[in-house]
Amino acid sequence: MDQHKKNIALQNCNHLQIGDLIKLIENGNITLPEFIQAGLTNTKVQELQAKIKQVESDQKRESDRLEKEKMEEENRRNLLESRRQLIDQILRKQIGAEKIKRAIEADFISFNDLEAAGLNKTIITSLKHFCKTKSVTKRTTIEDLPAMEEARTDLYFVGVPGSGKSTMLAGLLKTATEDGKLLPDPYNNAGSIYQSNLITDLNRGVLPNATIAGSYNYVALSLKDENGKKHPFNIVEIPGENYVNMFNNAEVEGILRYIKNDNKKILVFVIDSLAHDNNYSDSESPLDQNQAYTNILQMFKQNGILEKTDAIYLVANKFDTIIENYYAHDGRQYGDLGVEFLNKNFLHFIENCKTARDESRNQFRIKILPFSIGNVVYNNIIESFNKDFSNSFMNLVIHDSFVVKGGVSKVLQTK
Amino acid sequence: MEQFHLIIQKTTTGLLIEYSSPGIDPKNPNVINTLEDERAYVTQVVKDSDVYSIQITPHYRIYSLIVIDVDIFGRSGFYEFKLYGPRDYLLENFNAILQEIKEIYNQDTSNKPYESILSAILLTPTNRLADFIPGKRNNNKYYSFYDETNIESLKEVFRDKGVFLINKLYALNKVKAYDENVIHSVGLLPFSKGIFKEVTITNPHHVLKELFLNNEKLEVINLREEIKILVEPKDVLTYSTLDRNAIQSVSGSFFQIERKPLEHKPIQSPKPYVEKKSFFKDNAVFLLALVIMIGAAGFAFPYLKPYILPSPQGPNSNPNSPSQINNIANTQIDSTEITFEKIEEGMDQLYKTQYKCLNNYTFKYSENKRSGNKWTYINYNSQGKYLDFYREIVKDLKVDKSPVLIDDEPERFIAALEEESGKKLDSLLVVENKANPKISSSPSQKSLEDKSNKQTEEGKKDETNNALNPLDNVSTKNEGNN
Repeated sequence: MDQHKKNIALQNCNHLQIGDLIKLIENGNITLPEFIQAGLTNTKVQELQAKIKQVESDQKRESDRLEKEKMEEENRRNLLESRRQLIDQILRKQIGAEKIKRAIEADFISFNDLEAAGLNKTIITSLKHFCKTKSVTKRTTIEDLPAMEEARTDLYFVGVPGSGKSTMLAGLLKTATEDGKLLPDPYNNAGSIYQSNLITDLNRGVLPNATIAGSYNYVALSLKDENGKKHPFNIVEIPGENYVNMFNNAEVEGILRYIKNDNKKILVFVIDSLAHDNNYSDSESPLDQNQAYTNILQMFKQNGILEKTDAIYLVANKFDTIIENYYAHDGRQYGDLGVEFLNKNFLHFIENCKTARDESRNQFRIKILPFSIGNVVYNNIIESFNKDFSNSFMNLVIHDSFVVKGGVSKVLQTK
Repeated sequence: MEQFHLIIQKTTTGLLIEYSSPGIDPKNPNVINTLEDERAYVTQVVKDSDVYSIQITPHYRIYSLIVIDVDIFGRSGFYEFKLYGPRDYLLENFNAILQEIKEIYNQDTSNKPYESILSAILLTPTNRLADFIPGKRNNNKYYSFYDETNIESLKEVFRDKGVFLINKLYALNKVKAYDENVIHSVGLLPFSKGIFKEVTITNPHHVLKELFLNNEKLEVINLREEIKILVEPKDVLTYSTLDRNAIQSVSGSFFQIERKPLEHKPIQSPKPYVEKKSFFKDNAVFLLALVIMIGAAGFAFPYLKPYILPSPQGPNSNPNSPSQINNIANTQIDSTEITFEKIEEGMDQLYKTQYKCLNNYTFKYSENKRSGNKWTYINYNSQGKYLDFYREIVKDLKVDKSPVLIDDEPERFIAALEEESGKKLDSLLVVENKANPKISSSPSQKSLEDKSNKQTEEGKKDETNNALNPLDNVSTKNEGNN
């Protein structure tokens, strides 16, 4: 606007409409102070100021809206990115099933997302089972257990926490079921429920829940051998926490009282090969298994348990990882590899077992075997169940236990 | 010594005590029973969220914060901060303290100043719980929900005295908890305000003898005027009193133990209703004669009055007069007889009574040729000393600062004691004058006079002290005289 037009506008400012005045100000032709100086009436000035304020407010609101939209868009993008990263972690098996479960429960991702991302359907089914199963894990103390039935072989799973006692038992049960060799005994109802849960979980590719500290599991069952004869067992999982303070521990005294009976026994020492191999670096466990198991053996010896023992098994559990790390290209049998690994890493314990046997009237068998449940992904999901290890274990216990004919109450033969 | 202690436990391969502050031993039997594996409860009932818990043991009040986590195998796990404090103190800001500890725990630094947090927690008289008796502990674990946006609801539920009656109470985040069926399946029971009730029992007459909860005798001081007791709704409270043998029920939240109700003498039982119609019909002639006789008597009464009625000072012959009814009521306040039992013979004869709450008192009659024969008494308040006992003191026998014998009971008490022992209970003034006739006003008498004057001057300024002092003053001064 040239000066002449500007002067005319200023001279006639009181005749101009508010809208026109605003336009002149918005276009930068004339400022409000210039209008005031030119004699714009107070009323018009106030109207003008209110209008300007409103315009500024509208502008701010619009700016905020745009900013909010931008932030929402950014959040949405971040969320999508986080979701994408999580799904990527899942596809690359870098995350545990428990965390996947929490993401699904929080509606952060869905099974459809995983399916769309191309995750194996079998794994998705296992994850669904893992997320939806609400089988309750209860603490069972030694006092809660029914007395162990006589005229059975007592099979004790002994191991530090997380060594895989429940998993090994689950493998045995699943294999025995698949091979038609499992004959459940309804003696201990809680044990039968536990047994069913273990088999169901493993059939759906899910590892057993962690056993609650200080909790015992007792399952009464029979296994049928190739000749159709029943081998009745009392199977007991002894919780690992007890070994931390094994001496002068009332709980341990309770265990000894519980297991002290005339039944023949097989002691299964479940060794966490992986934790040992990692030098317990990530376990925060105060236990060195070599030492802990030797102490347990001595305790059994002192309390006469070994005099009733037919066999001791030293099981190198989680052996698939050991194979992967050390024997990936070794063509030898897994059994030979297991012996080599345990002789190398648990010689102290093995030698103590031998000495205990030499000092015992009962010349029990000492057997070394590797064990793996199969390929585990997401910490809890079994990608492929390895039946071989479970099968070998099942055959061993059948071989080392006694058989009954015509019922569980009559002992006919002790091997 | 620190009043608060901290234990941190977490799942690694199994369950591990990661930290314990100085002054608490996780292997101590009083502590070890409080260190539970929460995978049996909490980790199965909530999604990814914090859970608070409170547990009261005979030794501690334990506030804890349980954080859902995974163990080193990626399995469901947790870590927990357990704050052990004095049993009878509420900690209002427990959540803030626990969250601060959690923050420090998760900081990537080796310096974890837990102890400075513990030493900064203050106990004040205001957060000490009032004295009450928790009924009976059940061993169940309970749950309640809290709203993350209204943490006051969490504090309120943890203030509930019901926590004294249970094993443990968990507070679960409402929006992060699984369905209640799942919560129930792990063995947790719903806890809500008022599922346990507080019963206040008042015992103004001091007649409470024993209190029972579900037929089990409670260890209570039966002389307390007010007893607060916390019970479960299904619990049955019963009691017995000194004045009757029967076990009676406590009902409602406020219950007053009464004395045995008045037993009015049967004045005259109403006659059975007889049909009036037939009476008038049958006796019309006799009634007419009676009316005539009453009329004649009325006419002659002013002339015969001095010969018929006794003098105004004589006994009231009308059995239905108000004064007679009042007299009956007063003498029948407690129909139980006052009885004494002689528990020792010889030079010192001891007497006990079960009357009212005087079973803590023992009365002794001593025969001593040199100092004279005298009555004394001992109770829980006399610090092992026998105090002199006179007629005037009987009405001042107290339990929990309240006189026990009222109205005519002191007289009945004296009569019963004298009858059982065959020994007279002397009056204070008579004895003093006998012992030292030269003294016109003995110290003890003076004490009573002073007290009397003081009461006149000051009125009932301090009823409690005035009620207590006469006994103490009299006894002490008499001992001095003797």
